[in-house]
Amino acid sequence: MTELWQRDARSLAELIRTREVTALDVAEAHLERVLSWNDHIEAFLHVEPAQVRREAREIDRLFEAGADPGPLAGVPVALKDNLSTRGAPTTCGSRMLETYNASWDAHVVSRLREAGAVLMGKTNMDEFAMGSSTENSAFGPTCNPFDRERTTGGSSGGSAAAVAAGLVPLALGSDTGGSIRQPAAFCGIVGMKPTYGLVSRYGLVAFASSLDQIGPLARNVADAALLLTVIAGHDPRDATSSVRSVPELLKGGTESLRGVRIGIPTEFFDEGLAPEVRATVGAAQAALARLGAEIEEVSLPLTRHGIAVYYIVAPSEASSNLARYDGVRYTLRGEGRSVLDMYVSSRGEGFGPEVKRRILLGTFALSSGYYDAYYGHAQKVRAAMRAEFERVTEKVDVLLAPTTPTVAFRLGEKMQDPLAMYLNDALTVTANLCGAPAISLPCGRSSDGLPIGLQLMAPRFGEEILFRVAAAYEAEAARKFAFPPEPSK
Amino acid sequence: MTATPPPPPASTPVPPKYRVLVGIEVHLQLRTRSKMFCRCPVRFGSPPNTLTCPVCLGMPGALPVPNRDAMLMALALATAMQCELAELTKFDRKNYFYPDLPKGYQISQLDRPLGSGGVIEIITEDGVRPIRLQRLHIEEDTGKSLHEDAGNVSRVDLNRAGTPLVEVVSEPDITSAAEARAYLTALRALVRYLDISDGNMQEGNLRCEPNINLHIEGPGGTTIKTPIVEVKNVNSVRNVGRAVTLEVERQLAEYAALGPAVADGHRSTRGYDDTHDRTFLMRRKEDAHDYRYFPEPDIPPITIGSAWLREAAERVPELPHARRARFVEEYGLSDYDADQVCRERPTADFFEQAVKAGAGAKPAANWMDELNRHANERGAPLDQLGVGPERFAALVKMVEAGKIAHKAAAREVLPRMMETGEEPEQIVDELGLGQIDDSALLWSAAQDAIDQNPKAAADFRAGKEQALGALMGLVMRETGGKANPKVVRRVLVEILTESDPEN
Repeated sequence: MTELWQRDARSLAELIRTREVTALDVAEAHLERVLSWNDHIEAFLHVEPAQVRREAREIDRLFEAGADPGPLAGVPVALKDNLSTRGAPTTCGSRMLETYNASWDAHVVSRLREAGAVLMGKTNMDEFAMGSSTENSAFGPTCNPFDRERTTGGSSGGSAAAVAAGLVPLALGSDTGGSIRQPAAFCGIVGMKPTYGLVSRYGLVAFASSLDQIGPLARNVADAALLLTVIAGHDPRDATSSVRSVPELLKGGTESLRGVRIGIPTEFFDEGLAPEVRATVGAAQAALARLGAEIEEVSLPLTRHGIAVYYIVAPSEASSNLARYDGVRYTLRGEGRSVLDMYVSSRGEGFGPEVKRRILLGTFALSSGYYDAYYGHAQKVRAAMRAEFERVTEKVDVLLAPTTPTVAFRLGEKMQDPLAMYLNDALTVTANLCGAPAISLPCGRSSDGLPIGLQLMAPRFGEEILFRVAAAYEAEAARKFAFPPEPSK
Repeated sequence: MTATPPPPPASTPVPPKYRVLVGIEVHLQLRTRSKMFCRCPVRFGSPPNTLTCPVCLGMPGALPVPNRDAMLMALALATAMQCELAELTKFDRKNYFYPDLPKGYQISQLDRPLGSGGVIEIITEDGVRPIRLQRLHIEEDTGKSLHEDAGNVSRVDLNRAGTPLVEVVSEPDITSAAEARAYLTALRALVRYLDISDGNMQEGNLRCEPNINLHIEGPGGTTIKTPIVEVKNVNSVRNVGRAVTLEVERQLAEYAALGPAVADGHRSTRGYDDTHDRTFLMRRKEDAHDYRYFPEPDIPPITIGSAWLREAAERVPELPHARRARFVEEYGLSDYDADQVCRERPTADFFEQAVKAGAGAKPAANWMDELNRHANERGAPLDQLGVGPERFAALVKMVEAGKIAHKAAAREVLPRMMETGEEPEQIVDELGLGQIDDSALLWSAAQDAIDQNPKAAADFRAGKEQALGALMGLVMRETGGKANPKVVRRVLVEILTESDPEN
């Protein structure tokens, strides 16, 4: 018999809606999973079981009263700890915000509540979303459920691990340079970064405002589409939020991909790619061809500058976005005889080494006399990259690439080498810099049994074709999600 | 190490020739209902931190959304000042740490301000002169730091944080203290005409920072430029004049001491000290911040389309200089009277309505000071004094027709009209203030006066016209001040010339 925690979001919603099980049953099953797993992987930073049960009972009460609590009624959803949640901690994995409780909900959190979701808790992340392994969390790393010696990737590592280990069927993450897709790839699940502007950032603690997007993590494509549909749409509180109507995803069911053009950007298959990754992604490409898609090679030469551009733009914006953590109001406050001393000690104690490194990088890149050479130049290259991306995606419907150059690396392996860590984002930053939607979905395992991710990208607001191709691949590959083995006691 | 000061220039008997260059930066708080980037109300004098929300508190995850009304107000001002309006405008972040700056950056505009160029006309004793403008841009106000005298405690009030500000920067076209005052007066009149700001310097919704330096004619026809000094804490129109005067004196003294080497000094910021009427050094250029400006990623660039421009233009009423010219042309006012009447839009509106209701333009203009005095005493706007332009016009007409003396009308009738709402005729009747206009009735009073003071009568007949004053005084006393002085004069002259024994 399939356990409740093994079921996907849509089937749980259906069971609860038909009253075969209660929302409380579902909540209890997942709380039990959290209890047996979280100490081993540290996916969640905060779970308040009493609050989870209260929310579940409220859903049951609404059903009993004949009301419709919404499309996610009773479905447990985990939130990355940079999404503001009323009355709950929102630490961003930082000492700086260790004691901060938001007094209001992020837009996506409001949307989840309106849709009847049960909020399971807040997941671990690299501090302020800066990192690719969740090792930069001030509260310790999250471990990969498939091999606890390895990282989950990051920065949404907690969300990815929680979904992969069956602690929740759905989670939200944020993706600035690959922070949803890369951990999804490392944990063998589906992770999607929407078009910039499709999902309101109101209440997402900013890392790099022009790149950040909130997106879904799930164990299959249809669940990811369901969660995206709930959170997408215009929000007047975010000036960068698009007024376009949200596309209807997966309305046609799985069909053939005849006539769909898939571009293979050669730059994404460079020497740095692990052979197993190359081979597995190649097999996925063949599967798509079998479905009738036209495969053609394309070139995006400017994407080679992606990492360089990203590591100027993102730290620059971050250096400004993180200036508000000064010890004056809601943060950790250090000692000091003067205001300046107090700033220095608060920020010195509150931020970890990677956050400090990026604030320094960004402050330098924006400073007088260097702006043109760094930030100004990077913005020009970014604009050119975007134009190139748009030009290429006029000719093809989606682009296919690996999500990461390698499978999950070992904990500690890259902590002493920031540059090696940064290169992990090489294949994912393009979508962020171009504002384009991208999805990572599992396409196989390495010889060590570690998941490999397939990345699909589409032009801006191309969510419909992106999900259609992803779902078609998933069906063709008949890849059923396999849970990691239970942790030994 | 202290450098040996260079020897003072050979003592010159005449003071050097110089030009004063003043550019003024003005920050104006816009009178919008809500703040620049959130929906908190804009209000003065509420308990600390009660007009705040996650956005203006700079809470993690909060985002700014520009206030459309503030944009339109700023566009209207830019239109009124004939600025070139940006087709595409954007916001930028100005980064610096200060406890009353909750985000650690101020949202401002760097390289695509809403308006560029433009002009403000100023009026001084020397006439009307245009002052060119550099730019106009929008930004948000900071909070306030409150430093307690006792103990090492500072508090922050963020009610003001996020209030919309417009910054207007002039070219250094202003050449004197009087022009600096006139510039502020003109700008204040403009924003009040547009009804976009209270323009009140004491309450801090109009703040100004003059940048002052001198071009001194040096030896051998050289021009020596003194370093530019920005003066802060200038809190009244009068004080902007003081700041200019004090700086000119100080910079001249510095030139006297240092000679041409004065030009090697650095730009600095000085504060104006109201109590001691002096300026003091706040910081030198070396301590200047690097604000690390960059485009605000949370707000996409804004295209100023034709709909916006139309809406902004609709907000621009007839402006002071145009109205002044029209009042001179249409109503025959003197330049001086027209300027007085047009300084404040409510005054000009009231005046014009009264004239349309039949009041004479010149007398109505003279009355406006009186009305404004009442408005100030009551702290009420002109249109809420209880005397509308029509009833006011009725009073003016009575004075013009000689039915009541001006003094009586001002002292007795107008205050009573404001209190009771009665018509002026009614009040004049009730108080018995009507002028005795019947020359027949005055005849006997005049004859009596001549009889009582034959010397004055003789003096007048002998050609001393001022002797008539004494006789007029007698008649006025006799009639309890109600006689129309013009009629009294006519009657007296008539009697005295007709009964002249020598004629």
